[in-house]
Amino acid sequence: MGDWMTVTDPGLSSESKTISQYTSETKMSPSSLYSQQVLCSSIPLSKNVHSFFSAFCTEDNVEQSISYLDQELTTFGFPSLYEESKGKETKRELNIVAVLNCMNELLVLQRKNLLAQENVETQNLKLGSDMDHLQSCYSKLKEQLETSRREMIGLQERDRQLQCKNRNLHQLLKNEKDEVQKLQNIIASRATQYNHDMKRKEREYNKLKERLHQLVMNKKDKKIAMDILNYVGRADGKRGSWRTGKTEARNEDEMYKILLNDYEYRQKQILMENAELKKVLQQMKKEMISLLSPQKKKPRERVDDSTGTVISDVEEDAGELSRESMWDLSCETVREQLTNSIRKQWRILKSHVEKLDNQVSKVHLEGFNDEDVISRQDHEQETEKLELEIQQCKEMIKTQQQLLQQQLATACDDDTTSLLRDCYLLEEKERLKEEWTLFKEQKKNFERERRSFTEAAIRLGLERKAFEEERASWLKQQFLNMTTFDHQNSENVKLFSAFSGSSDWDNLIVHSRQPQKKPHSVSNGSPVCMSKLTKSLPASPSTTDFCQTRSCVSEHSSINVLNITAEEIKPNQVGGECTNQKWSVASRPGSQEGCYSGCSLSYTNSHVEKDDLP
Amino acid sequence: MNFSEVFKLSSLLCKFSPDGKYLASCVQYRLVVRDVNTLQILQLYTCLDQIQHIEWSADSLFILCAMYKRGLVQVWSLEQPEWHCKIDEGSAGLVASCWSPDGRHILNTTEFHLRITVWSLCTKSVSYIKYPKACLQGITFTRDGRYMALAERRDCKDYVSIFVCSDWQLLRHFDTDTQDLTGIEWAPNGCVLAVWDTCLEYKILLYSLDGRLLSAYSAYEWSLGIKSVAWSPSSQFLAVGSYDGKVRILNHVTWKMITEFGHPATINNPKIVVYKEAEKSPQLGLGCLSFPPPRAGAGPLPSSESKFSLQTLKPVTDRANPKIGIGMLAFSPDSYFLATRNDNIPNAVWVWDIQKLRLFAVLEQLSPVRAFQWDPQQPRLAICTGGSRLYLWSPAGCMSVQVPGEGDFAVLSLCWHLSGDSMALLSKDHFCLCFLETEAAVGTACRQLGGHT
Repeated sequence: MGDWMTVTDPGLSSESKTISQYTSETKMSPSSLYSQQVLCSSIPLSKNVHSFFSAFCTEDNVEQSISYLDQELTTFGFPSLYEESKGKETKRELNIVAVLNCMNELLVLQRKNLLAQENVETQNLKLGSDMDHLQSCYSKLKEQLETSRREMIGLQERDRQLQCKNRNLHQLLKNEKDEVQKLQNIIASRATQYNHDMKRKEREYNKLKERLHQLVMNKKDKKIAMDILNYVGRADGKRGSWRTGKTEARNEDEMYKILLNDYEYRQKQILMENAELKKVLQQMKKEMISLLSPQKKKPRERVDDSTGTVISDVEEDAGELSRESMWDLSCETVREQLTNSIRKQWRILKSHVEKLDNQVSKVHLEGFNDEDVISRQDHEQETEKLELEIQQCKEMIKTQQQLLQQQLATACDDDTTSLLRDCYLLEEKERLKEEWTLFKEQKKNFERERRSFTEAAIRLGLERKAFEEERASWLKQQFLNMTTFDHQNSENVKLFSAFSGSSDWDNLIVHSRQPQKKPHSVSNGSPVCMSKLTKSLPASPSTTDFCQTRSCVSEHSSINVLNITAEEIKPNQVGGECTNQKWSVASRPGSQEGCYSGCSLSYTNSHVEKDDLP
Repeated sequence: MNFSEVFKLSSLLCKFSPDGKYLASCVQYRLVVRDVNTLQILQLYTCLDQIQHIEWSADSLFILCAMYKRGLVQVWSLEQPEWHCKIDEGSAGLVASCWSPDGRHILNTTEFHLRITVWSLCTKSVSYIKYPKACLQGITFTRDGRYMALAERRDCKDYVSIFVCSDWQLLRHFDTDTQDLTGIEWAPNGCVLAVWDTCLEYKILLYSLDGRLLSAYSAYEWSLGIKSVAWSPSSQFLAVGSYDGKVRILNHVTWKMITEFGHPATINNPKIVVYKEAEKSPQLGLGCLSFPPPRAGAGPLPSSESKFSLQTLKPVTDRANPKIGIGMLAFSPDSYFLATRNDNIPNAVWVWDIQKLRLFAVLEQLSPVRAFQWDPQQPRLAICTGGSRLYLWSPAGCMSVQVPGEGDFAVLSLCWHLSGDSMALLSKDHFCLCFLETEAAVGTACRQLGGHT
C-alpha cells in the first residue's frame, strides 16, 4: 500500500482538476460517462470481469446490482452509495454524489495503478537486464575459477612430481655417497691388503734370494772368477791397506773434515755476503745522515720533542758507529743499535718526505693565490705596458734623429751658425785631436805585431812541410815492411772473419767461388751433379774419382777443381750439405732477442759457404 | 761446422774417454778405439759376445765391456793392448756393471739384485755387498770419487749405505723414511745426498754425508710425484721435476722451495722468445749447393699474437707410467740455465733463466725431443729429435744443421766432447762426429745472419 501511494502522489493535484471536469460532464450525460468508464476499465480488467460486467446489470436487476456495489464498496472502505435513511422502513435512496465520488476515486486509483504498473515493469526490465549481466559475469567468473582450479591442480601435480624426483635424486645421492664410502673403504682395505701382500711377497722374495744366494755362491761356482793377465798398480801408486780400526777412524776423520770444509766454505760465503750487505747498509746510513743533517737544526726548534730526541739519538749513534771497528763486530751486539738507528732515521726521512709532500699539495691547492706566481692578466698587462714604452722610445729616437739631421743640414748651409757652433765645439775638437794621436800610436803598435805574426806563420809553414815529408817517408817504409811480410792476406783480411772455414786456404776458395755461385744453382744441370757429388763422397774417398765428378760441376772454374783436389788430402772430412732448415722465431711483438729467421749453411768438402734465405 | 765421415755402430755404444783423447765405439762384438782428432783407429778389441755396455775408467786407461746375456765383463787396457781381463759372474748372472771412481775396481750387480760384487784389478780381493735395491738409480758416487752411496732394501725397509771407495769400508748406514725409494744422487760438492721416493708419493729427502737428515720436502699428496731430479753444478739448487708438469727449485740453505716453473701449453708472456721449427718447401735457385730433401727449409711463422700455444699430447692416464710430467731436466755447466722437457708437450724444450728465475726461451720442434745435452764449456744446448737434424741453442739464438750423408741419418742420441768443440751424433747403427766452429767464427756467423733478417 505504501508503494502504491508514493507512485500516485505526483499527479494528485492535476488529477483533481480532471475529476472536476468529469463531474461537469457527467452532469450532462451520465450514459456517456458510464460507457467511458466501461471503456476505461475494460483495458486493464480481465475479460472475465468484462463479460461479467456486461452481464452484471440489466434492466431488471438495477436495484440488486446497486446494492451489491454498495456492499462491495463499503467493504473496501468507500462511503455508502445510499443516502442516510431516517428509518428502517423507508427505502434507501441512491446518493448520486457518493456514487460519482466513488467512481472518481476508483478512476484515480486505476490511473495510479497503471502508472505504478508501468514503473514496476520498467524496473522489472532493468532488473532483468541486470540479472542477465550478473549471470553472465557469474558464469564467466565460474569459468575462470574452473580454469584456475584446473591450473592449480596441474601445478600441484607438477610439484608433486618434482618432489618425487627430488626425493629420488636425494636417494640416488645418498646411494652414491654410500657407494663412494664403500669404494673408499674398499680402496683402503685393498691398499692395506696390497701393502701386506707386498711385504709378504718381499719377504718370500728375500727368502728366495737368500736361498738362491746360498745355492749360487756356496757351490763354489768355478765360473765365477776373474781371469786377468796381471794385476795392475793402483792409480795413486799406493798399495792397498788392511781394514782396521785405524782406517775406520781415519775415514771418519776424513768425512768430518770434508763436512767441516764444506761448512767453512759456506760460512765464508755467508760472511762475505754479510760484509757486502753491511757495506751497503753503512753507505746508506751515511747518506741518510748527510741528507738529514743540514735540516737538523731547523726542525729541532719547531718540531715536537719526540722527533727532536730521535734526532739527537741519531747524532749520538752517528758518532758511535762512525768507527769502522763497530762494523767488524759480530752482529749480535751491533744489530740492535744498528736496526734501531736505521729505523729512527728512516722514520725521520719518512716524516720529512711526507711533510714535503704536504707542502707540495698545499702549493698545488693555493697555486693561483701565491705571491710568487704571476697571474696571466698581470703578465699581459705588463707586456702591453712594455710594448708601449718601446714604441715611445722608438718615436723619441726618430725625432732625435730628425732633429740631428736638420741641425747638420743647417750647419752645412749656414756659415754663421757654424761659426757660432765652432765656438763651443772647440773644446771638443781639442779632445778629439788628443784621441787621434793616441789612436795613431796604437796603430803603429798593431802593425808591428802583425809583422811579427806573419814571420812566425812563414816559419810554421816551413816546419810543417818538413814534417810531412818525414811522415811520407815513414809511411812508405812501413808499407814496404807490411807488404814484405804477407801480401796474400792483405786482400782477404775481411773474409777471414766472415767465414768459418778450417783454414785460410778455404777462405780463398770461397772468395773465388762466390761470384759464380748463383748461375750454378739456377741452372738445372748443376743440382744433379751435386747429388752425384754428395753421394759419391762418403762412399768413395779416392781423389781421382772425386775429381771427375767434380769437374763436371765447375767447368768454368778451374781453380775450384784444383783446390778441391788439394783439399781431398784431408782424409776424415767428408762433405756435408747442410740445412735449408730455418729457425723461425715466432715473431712476437716485443721479443727482444736477436732473432734470425733464416739460416742455411751449406758445407762442401771442407770449405764453408753460407747463404741466407731472404 | 764440419762433419766426419759416418762410422758403424751398434746399440748406441759410443763414448769419449774422460780425458777427451779417445773415442770408443762398439760394432757388434768389436770395440774400436779412435783418436779424437784424427779419427784413426788406435786399438781394436774383440769381445766374446755382442757388447751391451761400455764404460771408460776415470783415468782413461781401461775400458769395460759388459755382455749381460753371458754374464761376462771384459776389460781392455789402452796402454797394453795385450793385457786382458775377463770377469765371469757365472750362474749368478749380471744386470749392471760399472767402474769405481779410482778405475781399479769393477762393481757388478748380479741378477735379481742378489749382491754387488766388487772386483779389484790390483789385488785378488773380491768384496760383496748384499741387499742392493733394485731401483732406477741405486748407486751413486761423489764427484771427487771418495764416497759411494748405495740404496738397499732389507726387511721391507729402505736403507742407504755410504762406503769409502778407497777401501770399501762402510762409513754410514741409515734407514730412510721412504715407502719405496727410487733414486739417490749426490750433490756435486759431495756433502748432501738427495733421496727420492717412488712416483706414488711426492717425497724428497736430503741427507748429510754423515747420515743426518737435513730436510724433507713434499709438494703435494695423493698424486703421482717425482719424475726427475737434477742438482745444479754449483750444488746451490736442486731441481725436482714431477708428474704435475712443474719443476720446483730447492735452495741449499734452507732446503725450501724458491720457485716453481710451470709448463703450460700456452705461453702468454710476449717477452719470451719461442723458436718454432717450421717446414717449408725448398726455394730453388737460392741455395748454391742446395740439393735439399723436399721437406727441408722453413719459413717464419706469421703469428704476431701475444699468445703462443704448443702442441700437446693427450696422456693416457689409465696406463702405468703416463706420458705426463717433467721427464728430463739438465742444468747448464755454469748453472745459469735449466733445460726441461714436459712429457706431454714432447716437442718442446724449455730453457729457464736461473739467475732471474724465469722462463727464457722455448724451442718447439717438429717431432718429439729425444735427447738434449749441454755443452760442457758454455751455455749451449744440443738437441736431437730422431730426425736427420741437429739443433743448437745458445742465448744468442738457435740454429739447425742437417747431418750430411746418404739417406737420412736419424740422430737418436748425442754426446759432447769434453772441450765442447765437437760431439758425437748417434743413430741406430751409425755415428759421426760433428766439429763446431770456434767461438769467434760462431759470433761472426750469428752477426751475418742477424744482419739479413
